[in-house]
Amino acid sequence: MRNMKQIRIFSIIALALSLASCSLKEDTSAVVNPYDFFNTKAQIRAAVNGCYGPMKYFHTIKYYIALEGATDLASTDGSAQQDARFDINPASPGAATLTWKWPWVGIRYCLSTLAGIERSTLSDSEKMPYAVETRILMSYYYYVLTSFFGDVPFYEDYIENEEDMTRIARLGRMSAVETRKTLIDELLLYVPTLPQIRTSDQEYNTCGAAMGWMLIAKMAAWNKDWDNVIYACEHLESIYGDLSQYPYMDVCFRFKNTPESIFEVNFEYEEGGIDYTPYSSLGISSLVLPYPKTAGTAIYDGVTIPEIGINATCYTPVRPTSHMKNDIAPADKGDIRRDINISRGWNGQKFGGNSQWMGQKFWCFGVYKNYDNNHYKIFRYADALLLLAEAWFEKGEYSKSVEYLNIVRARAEVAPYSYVSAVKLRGEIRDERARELFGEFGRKYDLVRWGIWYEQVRAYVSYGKAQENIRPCHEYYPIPDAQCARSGRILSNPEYDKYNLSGTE
Amino acid sequence: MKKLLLTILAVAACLPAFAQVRKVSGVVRDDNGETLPGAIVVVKSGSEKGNVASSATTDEKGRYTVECTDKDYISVYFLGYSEVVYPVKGQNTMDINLVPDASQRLEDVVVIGYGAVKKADLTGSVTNVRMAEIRDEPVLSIDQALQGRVAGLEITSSDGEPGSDSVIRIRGARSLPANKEGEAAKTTTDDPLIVVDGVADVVSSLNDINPADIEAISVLKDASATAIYGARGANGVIIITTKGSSDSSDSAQNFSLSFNASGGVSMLPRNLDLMNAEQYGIFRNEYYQHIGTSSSMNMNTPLSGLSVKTPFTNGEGTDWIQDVCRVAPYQNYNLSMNGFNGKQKFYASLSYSDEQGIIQKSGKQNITGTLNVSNKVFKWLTLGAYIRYQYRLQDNFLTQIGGGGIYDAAQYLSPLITPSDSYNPLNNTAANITNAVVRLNENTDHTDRSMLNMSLNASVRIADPLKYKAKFSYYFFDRQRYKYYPSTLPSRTDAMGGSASRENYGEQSLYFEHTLEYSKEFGRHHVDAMAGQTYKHHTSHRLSLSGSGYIVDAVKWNNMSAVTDKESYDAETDYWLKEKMAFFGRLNYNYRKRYYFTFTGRFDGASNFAANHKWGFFPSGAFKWVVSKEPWLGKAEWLDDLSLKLSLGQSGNDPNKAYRSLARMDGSSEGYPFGGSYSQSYTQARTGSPDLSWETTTEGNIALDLAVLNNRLEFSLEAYKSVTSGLILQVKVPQHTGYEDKYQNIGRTSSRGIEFSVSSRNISKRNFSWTTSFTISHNTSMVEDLGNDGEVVLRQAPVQVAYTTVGYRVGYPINSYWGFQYAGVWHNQEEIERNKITHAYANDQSSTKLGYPIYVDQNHDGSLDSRDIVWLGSPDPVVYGGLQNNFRFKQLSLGVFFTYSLGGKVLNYSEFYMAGSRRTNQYAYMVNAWHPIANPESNLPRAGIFDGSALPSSFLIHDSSYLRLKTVSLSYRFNIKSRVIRELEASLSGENLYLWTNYNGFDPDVSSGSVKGYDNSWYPKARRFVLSVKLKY
Repeated sequence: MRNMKQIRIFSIIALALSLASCSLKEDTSAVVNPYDFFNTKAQIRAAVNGCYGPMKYFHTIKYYIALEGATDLASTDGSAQQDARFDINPASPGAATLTWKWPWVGIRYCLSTLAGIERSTLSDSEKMPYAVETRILMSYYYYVLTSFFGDVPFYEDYIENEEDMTRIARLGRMSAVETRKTLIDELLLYVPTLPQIRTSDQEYNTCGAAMGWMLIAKMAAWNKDWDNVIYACEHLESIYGDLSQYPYMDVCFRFKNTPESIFEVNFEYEEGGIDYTPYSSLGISSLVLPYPKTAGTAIYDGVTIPEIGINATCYTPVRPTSHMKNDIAPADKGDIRRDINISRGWNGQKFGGNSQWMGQKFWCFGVYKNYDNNHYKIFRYADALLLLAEAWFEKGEYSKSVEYLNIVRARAEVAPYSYVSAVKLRGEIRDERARELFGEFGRKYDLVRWGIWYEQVRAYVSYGKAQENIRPCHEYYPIPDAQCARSGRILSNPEYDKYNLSGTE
Repeated sequence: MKKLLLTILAVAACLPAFAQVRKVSGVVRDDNGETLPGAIVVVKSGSEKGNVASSATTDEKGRYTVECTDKDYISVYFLGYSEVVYPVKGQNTMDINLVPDASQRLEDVVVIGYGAVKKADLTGSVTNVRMAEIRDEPVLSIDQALQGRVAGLEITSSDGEPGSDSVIRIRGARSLPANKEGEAAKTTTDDPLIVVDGVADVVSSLNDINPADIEAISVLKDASATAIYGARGANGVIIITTKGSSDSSDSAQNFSLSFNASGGVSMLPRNLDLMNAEQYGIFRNEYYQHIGTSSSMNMNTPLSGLSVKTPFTNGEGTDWIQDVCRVAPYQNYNLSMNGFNGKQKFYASLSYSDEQGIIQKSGKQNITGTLNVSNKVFKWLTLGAYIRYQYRLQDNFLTQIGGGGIYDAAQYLSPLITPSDSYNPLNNTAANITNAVVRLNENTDHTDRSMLNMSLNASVRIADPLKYKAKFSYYFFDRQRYKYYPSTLPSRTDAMGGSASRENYGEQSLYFEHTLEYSKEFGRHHVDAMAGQTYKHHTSHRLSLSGSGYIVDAVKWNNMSAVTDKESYDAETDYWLKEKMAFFGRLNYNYRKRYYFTFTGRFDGASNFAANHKWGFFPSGAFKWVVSKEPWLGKAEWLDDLSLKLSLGQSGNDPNKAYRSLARMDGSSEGYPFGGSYSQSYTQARTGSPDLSWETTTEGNIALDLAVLNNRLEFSLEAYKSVTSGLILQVKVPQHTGYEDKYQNIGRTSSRGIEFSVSSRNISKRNFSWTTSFTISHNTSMVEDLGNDGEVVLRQAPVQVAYTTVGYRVGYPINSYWGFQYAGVWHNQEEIERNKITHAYANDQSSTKLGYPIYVDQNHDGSLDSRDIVWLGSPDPVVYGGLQNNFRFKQLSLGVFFTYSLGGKVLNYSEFYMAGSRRTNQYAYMVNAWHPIANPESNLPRAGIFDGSALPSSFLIHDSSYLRLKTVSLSYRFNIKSRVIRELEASLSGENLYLWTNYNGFDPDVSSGSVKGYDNSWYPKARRFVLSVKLKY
């Protein structure tokens, strides 16, 4: 009996011991750990690719209306879009919802990629180009944020843990001028290390030196730092050379990554020909077609446009204002840009009631519903030349200014401009930007930069509701109220408070 | 079969039968002295727990005769009475009196964590569910059957779809699951731990268990009872013991076979009160006259010029909800047998049920099989095993009643169009729609699931006070989903094709458990102790394929790669591995069964705990004072039990999901397009949280149990307070960090409550009895601290500005509703002018017009924004519970069960649209909408005032109080003299028979996901009638 007992006890102990002590360390084969990443060029490339992702989520209809479709040049008459009629306040911020969110996501991707590249065991010469490309992307996101919202938080730290997160979450608005200054200085350091080639010559048209210089020029222009505008644009001039080699027709959004391009937001997806991602339905093609479309046909405002096809969806469109149509770019003056920017008809047929609509520059041929697969031209070489004209003007070098202005005019087959007075030259440069860059995601930024946004838009926007609602504070979009609340009201919209639009007492 | 068994029993009985055999006879009576025919008398050889030697049944006059020896014992039992055992000891006549069952409840064994105790020795707060009350009811799942029966156990239906799980809360919600993006985003849950036959996580929901197989259910409520489950115990524990599992005491009969067949119908108990075609036609015209953008219609337009030219001849129009509903059949068959011969015990059952849903084509079919065996191999060794299998085929709900699909869901569709229409004139994008009826007819979607659970266990008596138990369990779960939406749906264009998805999710776990038990009396001192260890290895995986663009509808999901375009094809794979280990122990001490002390503790370690927090310790202690055993009270004969219990302890709620604390990068093949094709991209999805830990709940409990008048009246009163700290939150962070949220152990909640239950045997006569049980519970759960964050959002309004509608804020109850305070409409210009000075109200449109709805401008700043949002109430009821009454008259018994819930709030999501939007049909009350001539005093928004949805406001919040006649069951037990059939019972029962409520939705007992009281009219709850026949052999 005693023996039996021992056997029992022994067997139990044996059983208990058979429970080999197990490790409670997590098996991580199912997750990708950022600390085990960035070890090969392919991995770094994939991380840099990720940094581009947020682009397609904020270059949307609303962003387009905000920048182009509610300005002195074009307006979206009759539209229910709040951005079209300045029905914008912190609680109901329209385009700001996406334009606040996605650039910050982009910055997060860039900063974590930069930190990863830093950790990577690859050699500096292998890593450097990726790091610079990532910095350029980050600068673009900050460029959008500072241009759209004015003063915004600025940081360049990788958020690695809770403390970092808490610290960053407490940042309030910071001077946009200072932010741009820091970014310009950084870019000036890094951009020269890249191959000095055109974006169209970059593999897959990624952001390279050309985009870097352009961002320096754009941010410097905002800061009225004309020396750096000139410095950067002259680099572009040496990369891109003579403007006349780039046919103007190439500015159409349907021609992708053309030689003149410096930065385009890619939407094209070739295999299926159409893009089914939910965000692409926010693409601008439905906003820029002649209106209305006859259902089930390719007839747009009475004119058959077989190139667009029968499947397009049309929304209440953006249309050129009479200021654009009649004052800035009157028809039949020989400017070849006129009929590409603004359409009066197609194949010899005129639109009903002599209407004029957004031109073929913006149309997506063969579009399916609202799945726009054009690329959006954000920056191109002619823009840089006009910035040079502006910078030389601001520095008082009127003849140099006129020289660059005329490079752009020459390609448009417009007679050269000759200097009359400083005031007239300034007006001419501004109008030239309107004619050259019409509808290319930038009018609002130019107007704000020049400080004439409120007067100009108020005077010329053709949509009555827009004229009714517009306030000087709408120059910059408000930070969404929900985000101000999340920051514990460290973020705020004092300009909107002044116009009693945000409800703060 | 029976003969064989009897032979075996007879042989077994012969072995010790050396003593002289003689006849013993007697009469069995009840506590009122009336004879009991049909009572079962069993002769047990040698001891009280000896083998069954023979048995007999009392005749019409309660008489019996059995053969036995002097050393044998006679045991008598009768349904509803407690079993008694007496030694024969040379008696020839033994008249036996039985007392009703309730009087021996203190002797009942209650299953607790890793063991069982007699109810009298219970120190923690554990409620044993009376299964007898549930068995006759037509409720098809255990969670629904438990509603209202256990004080402190709150069960809210999620919806009425067959097979859908209820939201179960023990003593309220504590943790704050931010569950917006479905399963993947769940941080922690408030769901209790479910333990079946001693093993946790071997069912995916309570629906996986065949109700007929359940022997007992214990609900563990306070920390003293749950701390033994350590990091998983904080939400309370529901322990289910199945029939025949080795620890259960179902040892009465030697063999029985029972068959139960039931059939019935389910139907929609009440429809929403929506506009018919005539009312809606008038509504449309009013909209066009006053608000519409069409310049051709205005106030003076004659009827012939309006949108709906002849509204008065439209009649009823289409009733979309009725068109998707039906009267659905239900059937269920259950065959079970069990046997016991003193050494071997078995229970086997097989069941099939087919429950069709009240919405066409939805429903589920279940096949469940169970086999439980145990064998006392040696005196010191018992071995047992069980195997349980379930297959469920679920025909998923194919259409929509409510929710966000305002152009195609049934409740929103205009009565002016018909099921053959694919054009919805209310849809401003003018795209074709697939209406609720077409969806039902064209789409396919079903899920099949199989679940297997096997367990081996051994119990070894090492030395007398010391026992060792081992358990080894394997669990397997597999779910396959098949879904196809064909290319022929009206909302699809030719190029789109059909869309298909296939999903497979599976889980497997291995579990070991070892426990040592020790129990000894030292004079007046009793000590028992238990120590144990567990180890668990759990893996789960998911494979999901989905695509669109299929051009051959007939093959459905069977050719997933046949898509033209990579972008419309999606393949996802996931894998999770978790390892857990624990050491635990419990020490019980009592002095003369008068003073009890219990201490428990558990060390828990788990791989999914973050790097800096791999192990946690969860202690508890309890004290019980049985006042009624004090000598100074000894003379009070009316007092059967009076005891006071105190407990304090800690338990946890773990983050559950693996890898949550790790930094991670997510890869995608659909990144930014370069050169016309998608680039591969990896982006940082999350930062690491190496300090992420479980949530800790500290709970104190005080309880008073009272039983008087020979246990005819039993009361139980409990009060508790708990604090949960270190809440794991998916905290929203400002977007300028680049992140939307983060996981953090931050914040604190508290719960406090009172529970009271009473059960009473009002009348207890031979031919008539009446018993009542009643529960009432109150719980308040508050958010005490959210760290840096002002609020955590659970649901947002479907308006352009996504205002919080359900969320957590400090100082308010968990699951609070938020929104604007509705203040009617602008009735006249004077009001508008006056308001320009007072800023008392505001409307959200940029212009101000008569009939626009207005809301209180809380800060009087003249505009409406998030600062004007106020607390609109909580879905938590002030009190809830149930009332059960059972009547028995001779063979007829009647059970009537009410549940109630008072003082909570419910949010009617459909009123975002159906009270003023021009895009959907309307509630019938909108015929009284504000109108300048017909209805200038009305406070309802003007016809068609909202182009999309209304603002979240108090307009949508309703009182969710209700009283429900939940079940009535009437059954008749036939007097059977046959030797073949021992019992025959037929019953008719009804569920959800009547509802008293002021709520205007389908049913105020509703939730959406884990958000209680958020009614998006997903699937209305059914009313059901069931007829069943029970046969026992």
